[in-house]
Amino acid sequence: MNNRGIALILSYVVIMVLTIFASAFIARTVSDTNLTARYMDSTKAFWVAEAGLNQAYYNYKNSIPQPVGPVDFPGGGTYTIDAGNLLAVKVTGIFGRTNTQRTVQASLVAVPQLFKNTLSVGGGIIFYAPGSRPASFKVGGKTRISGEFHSSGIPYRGGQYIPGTSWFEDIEEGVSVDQTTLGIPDYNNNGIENEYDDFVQMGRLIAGSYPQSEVIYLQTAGSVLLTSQSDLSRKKVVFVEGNSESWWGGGDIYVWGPSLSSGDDLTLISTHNIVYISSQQAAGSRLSTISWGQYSESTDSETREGVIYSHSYGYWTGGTSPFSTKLIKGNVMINGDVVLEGITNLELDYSDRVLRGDIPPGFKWLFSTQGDPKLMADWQEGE
Amino acid sequence: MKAFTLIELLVSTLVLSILVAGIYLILNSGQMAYHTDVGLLELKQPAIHALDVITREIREARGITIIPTADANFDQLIFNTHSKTNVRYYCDNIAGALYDINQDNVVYQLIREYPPLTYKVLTNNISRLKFSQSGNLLTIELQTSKTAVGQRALSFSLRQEVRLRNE
Repeated sequence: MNNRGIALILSYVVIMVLTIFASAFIARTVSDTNLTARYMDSTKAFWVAEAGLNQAYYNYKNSIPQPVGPVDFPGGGTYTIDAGNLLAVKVTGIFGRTNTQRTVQASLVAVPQLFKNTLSVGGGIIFYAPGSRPASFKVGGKTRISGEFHSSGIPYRGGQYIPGTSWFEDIEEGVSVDQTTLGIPDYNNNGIENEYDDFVQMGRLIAGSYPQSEVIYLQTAGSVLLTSQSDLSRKKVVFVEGNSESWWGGGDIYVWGPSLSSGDDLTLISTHNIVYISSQQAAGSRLSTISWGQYSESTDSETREGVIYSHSYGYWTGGTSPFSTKLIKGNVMINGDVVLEGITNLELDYSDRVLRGDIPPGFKWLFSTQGDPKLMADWQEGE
Repeated sequence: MKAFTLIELLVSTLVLSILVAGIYLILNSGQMAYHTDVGLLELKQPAIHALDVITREIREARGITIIPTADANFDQLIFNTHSKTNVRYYCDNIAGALYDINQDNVVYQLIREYPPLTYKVLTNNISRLKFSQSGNLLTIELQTSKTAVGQRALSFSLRQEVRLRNE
């Protein structure tokens, strides 16, 4: 027998076994390295996304437009800010050659729970119908009041009593005041909230936070009348600052017929009273008000959208025609009492526009007593 | 031909035994090192992974409650996130009869329970799990230990501080 070829075969076998061992070892090392690289990139992508979220918050606070498309992060990687919804801003961080992505999301502004209500009243509601003709008060959505709802009327035509008709979809009385009112944050930094001076400072801060072309800012001891002649196009804020808190201090705003076109979003701010008589509001526009003093409105036939905030009282009274009905879609927040008087036909309806993050100009300055504005809310990771 | 003398035989045996003893020592320490390293790897990797999982979920937690248990080494953690309520992390021996290699110590597992009665084992061999919270900073201390081949006690400790984004 000739065994001389065995050496070759044996060496083949040995080489084959060694090759298998070596390649398995290399494969394992390579996959371990890749896993580690991916893990590192993922961790870095997470912190890049966090950095982007903080940048988005900084931009938002300082009214800087959010960047569109990927932004290079100084330490490597990129982040992309999706600020389509202020209440769920998404930032995606990408890092490394593995292009690993991590997404974080947060709400940039803590919207007070009050915006789940249609009507929030820190005091009570008095519905005072004259009795001569039916008056009505109707509220869809939630009504939360700290006081009570009273309906009363005057006997008319020999004792015939026609009370106003009221209807609430969902009303709760005696709710604690922090659930029904918004205070003014301590903008003058003297340690006390809810002062007149805080309100004045807030108005100035709001007026200063928008470009000049979008703001009307007046200081006056008199009143400002907005009429159909007023050019409010592209305006975001009208701030009228009176001389003092006293009733002769001025600073009232009268709204009597100004027109808003579709897409307009205007907030009127007064250090005293706001009197709303009428406006020409195209569908899709919004007129909101913030007043230190009373908010009063006539119930002329109109359908409009807006958020009403008064640190003082709310007053609705009959319009020029007894058959007219006013419908306001939005949120009404009155820290004091609400009085409805005369042949009032008022209907309030809920809008979740604010809860969805579409906040009227200036209102985010009011939010900081409920939920610190320096903090983001609802932080979460992933989609 | 002369045969080896007795002295020559004795000397060569001595030299050989010293050599064999040396080789044995080297081999043995290599073997021990191998078992230790493999044991440590088995402790470290799952512990790091488990801590990673907890950290990711806790970052978005709110309403955190830390409950001490009868065993001072273990805490229970309960919290909510925006979409989940009552997520629990704790140590237990849900397998019931899981013992370490010497069959004398019960092996504790780190368990995530959510939704209630749905368990997920994150890692075995837990010997310590403590949580402490100060403000919006939550500290997690985790220790895994086991006895490796050759009666060697191994343990690995991790400590992580998580800033709670929603507290």
